[in-house]
Amino acid sequence: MTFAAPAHLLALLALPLVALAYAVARNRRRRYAVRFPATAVFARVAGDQPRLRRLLPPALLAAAAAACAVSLAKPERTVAVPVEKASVVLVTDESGSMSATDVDPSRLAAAQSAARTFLGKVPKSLLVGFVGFSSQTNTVIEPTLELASPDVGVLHAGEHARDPRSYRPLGRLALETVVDAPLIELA
Amino acid sequence: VTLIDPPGRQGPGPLAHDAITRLDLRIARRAGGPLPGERRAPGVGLGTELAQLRPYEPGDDPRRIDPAASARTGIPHVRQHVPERALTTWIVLDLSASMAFGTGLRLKSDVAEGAASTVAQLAVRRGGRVAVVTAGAPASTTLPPRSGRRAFAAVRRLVGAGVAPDRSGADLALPAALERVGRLARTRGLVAVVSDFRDDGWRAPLRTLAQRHTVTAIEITDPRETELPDAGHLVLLDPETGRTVEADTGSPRVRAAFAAAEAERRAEAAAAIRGARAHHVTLSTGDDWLRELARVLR
Repeated sequence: MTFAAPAHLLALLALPLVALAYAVARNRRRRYAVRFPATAVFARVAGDQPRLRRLLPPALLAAAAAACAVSLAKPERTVAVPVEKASVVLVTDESGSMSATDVDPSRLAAAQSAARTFLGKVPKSLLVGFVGFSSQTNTVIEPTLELASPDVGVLHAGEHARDPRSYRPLGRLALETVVDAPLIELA
Repeated sequence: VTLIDPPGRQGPGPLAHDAITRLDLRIARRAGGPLPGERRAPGVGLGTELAQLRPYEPGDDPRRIDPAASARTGIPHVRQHVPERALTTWIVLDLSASMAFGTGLRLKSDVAEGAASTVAQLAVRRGGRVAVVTAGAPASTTLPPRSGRRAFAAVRRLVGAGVAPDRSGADLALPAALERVGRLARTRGLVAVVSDFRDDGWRAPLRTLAQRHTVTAIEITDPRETELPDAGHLVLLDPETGRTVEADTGSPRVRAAFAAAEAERRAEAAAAIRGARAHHVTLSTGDDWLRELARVLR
């Protein structure tokens, strides 16, 4: 265990001083005792408090002060704990070729349907993101626990579809976007 | 120096003459008598006044045979007289450290000094003798019975010498002092015990003493001893033992418990004094003690 602010531990040194001050104050009271002939009678009916009851409040106070000092010193320890965090990014081609209807009803609609089926089945603790690309990455939705957000991405995929002739294959760029996205941590 | 002048001491105050004269009358009625014919002592003994005539028994002094009575009855009779003695007054004065306390007009030791002086002044009148035994001091003193003005002066000097310092211990506590008076006082007389009666064990000696003598217990009290004021947290110190006790006088429960215990202690002491057939006089430092003494003894 280490301390982030060990200087605060010096406050513990003051505790014996406080105890000393308590003893001195007590002795002082005894030095200025009142001469009283009926002391014996008084001691019989309302004698000294039990030692425990007399010492308990200052002892609790000292314990509280010690706890404060230790906690101000910020004790810390490095512990390895398992992190259950995985991110899945749906990367969808949004280029013009996806409008081809060789798959019923079209390639894009089939991809959207497959993505939604996927979203419906993944566990809720999974981070899911969406990246759409054609000649550039169009839609970037960071991996999130809100399944609705990638769903929106899936829904709007294709809106940015370009003329097939201007298409340049950018799948690699999209994947790099996924990897480089600043908020995406692949743990 | 075995005795100290306690701080705050101011002496017993003026001894008013009228009050002492009235006290004198009262004490005269109570105790046996001083020299020739002045006072009667209990029992029979040497004197001039006839107490009784009774038949002669072997061992009687033949000089006491009454010729007239013997002639009339035909049986030898002896005269017995009312004893006539000088009244001897013993004063037992408590000089313990607890007497050096007072929150009223004066200290308890001042009142005790005044009471002892007053008793001594009455005692030396008409040929009476006075003796003093001090108790509670590290070195106790015994003044043997003496009469006259000089004896009174010696008593005044002794009772005004101060009290024992704190935690000095006592070579003669109050019970032992009472026992000493019982041993030393042969003739019947008056014993005045001036104390706060805070010691233990004085009851039995007082009872023994009162069987032979006329005992007056003069208890000196202070108003603060019976009730504590609300003074917050205090440390109380017993002057005689040096014991300290932490007291929360701010608590009404503690104050009530103390007042009850103290009232019970004083009631019990008063019952013990009454039970010993002694007169009980309580003088407080908060009052005019001489007026109170005169009022109670009148």
